[in-house]
Amino acid sequence: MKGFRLIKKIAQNKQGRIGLIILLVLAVTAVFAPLIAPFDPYDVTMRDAKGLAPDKIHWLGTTITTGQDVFSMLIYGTRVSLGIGIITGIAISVLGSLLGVAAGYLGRAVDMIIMRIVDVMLVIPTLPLTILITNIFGKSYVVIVLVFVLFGWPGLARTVRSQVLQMKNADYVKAAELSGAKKGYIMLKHILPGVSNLVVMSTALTSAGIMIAEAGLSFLGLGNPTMISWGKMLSEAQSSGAVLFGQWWMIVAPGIGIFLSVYSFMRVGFAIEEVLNPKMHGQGSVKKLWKHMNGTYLDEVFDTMEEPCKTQSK
Amino acid sequence: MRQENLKNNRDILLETRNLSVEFPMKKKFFFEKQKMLSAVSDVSIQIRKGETFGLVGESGCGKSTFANATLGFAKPRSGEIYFNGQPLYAEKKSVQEARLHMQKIFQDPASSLNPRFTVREAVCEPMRIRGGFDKNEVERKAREMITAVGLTGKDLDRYTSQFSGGQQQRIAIARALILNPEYIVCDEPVSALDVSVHAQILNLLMEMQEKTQTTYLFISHNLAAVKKLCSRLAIMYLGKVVEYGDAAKIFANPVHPYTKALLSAVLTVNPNEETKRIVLKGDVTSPINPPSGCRFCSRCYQAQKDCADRECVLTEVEPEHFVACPVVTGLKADIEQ
Repeated sequence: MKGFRLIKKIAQNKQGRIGLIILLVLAVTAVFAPLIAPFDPYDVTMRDAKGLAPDKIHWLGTTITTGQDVFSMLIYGTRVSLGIGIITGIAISVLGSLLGVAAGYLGRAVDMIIMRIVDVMLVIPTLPLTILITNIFGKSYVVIVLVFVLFGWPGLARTVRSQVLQMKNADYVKAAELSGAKKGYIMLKHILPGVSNLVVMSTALTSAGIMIAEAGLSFLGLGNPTMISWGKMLSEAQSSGAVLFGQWWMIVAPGIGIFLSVYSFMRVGFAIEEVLNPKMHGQGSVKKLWKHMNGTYLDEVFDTMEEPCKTQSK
Repeated sequence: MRQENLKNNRDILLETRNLSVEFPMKKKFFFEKQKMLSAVSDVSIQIRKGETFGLVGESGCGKSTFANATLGFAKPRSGEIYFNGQPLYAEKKSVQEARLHMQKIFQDPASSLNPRFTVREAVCEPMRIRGGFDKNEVERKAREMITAVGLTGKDLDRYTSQFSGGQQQRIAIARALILNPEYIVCDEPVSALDVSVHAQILNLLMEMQEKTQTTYLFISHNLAAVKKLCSRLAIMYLGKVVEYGDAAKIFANPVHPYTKALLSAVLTVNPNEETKRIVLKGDVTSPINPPSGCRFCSRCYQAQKDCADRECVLTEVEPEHFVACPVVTGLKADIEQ
């Protein structure tokens, strides 16, 4: 019920509506990819159709070296991009919010241990270690998702913790403690619902970031070589000399795919945040995007919300 | 000496003996000596079963800290608390056990009820946490309580944030009373509400007390409310009890200069009546490393030179009426000699 209300609110928001529509189109594309794609994107046997320009049969032409249909590749690529983005985003949110709530509410030793791990994780340079790990454990998507989760949760845990620290002094938490509530009960019934909306928002924003990161990794040749993803399409276009031959569509197509998916997630994320926190209305989305890239955006949102419980009730 | 004055030990629900609560201050330098903020210092009070005990004093004088200590939220630095004759802080378990009979009504009803909860969830929460009740029993009890505080059964399905302050406080009272606790701390239960609903809430509290024979610790700034509700009271200043005893006697014959100043500030019904206001000068002394003697002496209009060093002990000035003032007790000692 509550989730439905939130979606309705997002749809009413101008920012969110566009994001939701794009997201819906992308999701449908990903789910029904085999029905939509005109050719098999994995078919590399079309010797006579290499490096074609866009025409009525191949809407976005074919690749230079293997003759795969670019439009079909683009549609299949949606699956990987969206899948990785959403799965990783959810995993990060679950892990980050649970550990953040535990650190904030339990305090003492638990807080110390979790926050020291967070401190260490936040200063480790991500890319070199990612390259290292994918080289050791193989280039499967499971490994890639795990790596993203490993580096993604500390930021969220830290912001959630700061929110929990404010919330645990609320009178209703005191009242529950006085009635003899166990710590688990308070965390599950009072604290976690209190940060849930913010976690949903950060899921949307993190998913967008993860999709860019996945494309980047695939472009560097660190993605799963057996699957078609937008990053890998870019990488192939680059290595087969698409720029040299003037076949710009091979670069633009996955570029637009990446842009649309990231853009829709960002829009939805910003819409959730505007719905929850009317104080952040004034800023343009470019400014927000810049802040988000610098990693200061979530902190700011959390800071301006003095009482998460009250904003929700309106 | 005061213990002998007790009529009967069985009448006492809660007793504190020389209770002190201190909070450590943040150090500015690593090697700095640890400063302590003395919130409650050397308080010995007895609260009898079924009465409403008032706790009066200005902001920051330690009323709430005292109440929290009796609820097991603030560990005392020294002294003891006995609840039903059992020491409260003896073991971890004893706090948990005592809390089965305790509840609190908070100052701000909006923040004492989770806005994500429906009224049913909020009111039933203590029963659900305690466990061992079947669904029908919980539902029946919730309906009974919610009608007892003047709302209807329909309201059970609405969210707590949809109610006005006065209604929210009624819900909070229903929640506090649902398990029939013996001891309820009312921490300024009306000061966050509109003046128009003050009387309603206070009347409701009194009504419920008549039904359930609960004991209230009533914390308030509002002296008129205290006069109406409380049978006995303690007046606190900067963590110490300055006057303690029967409410009627204190209101009729305030002895401590601080009490006199407080009572002189109460407005009277008759506008033509000339009242002498005692206006205190200066600010409250810092509770960090306070003076050893009387803590009120820097603002006292009756202070003598050595008040800051003279010991302040609660002394009986008349039956059921104790005062801690070096001047008053000094005079009394002189007379006795």
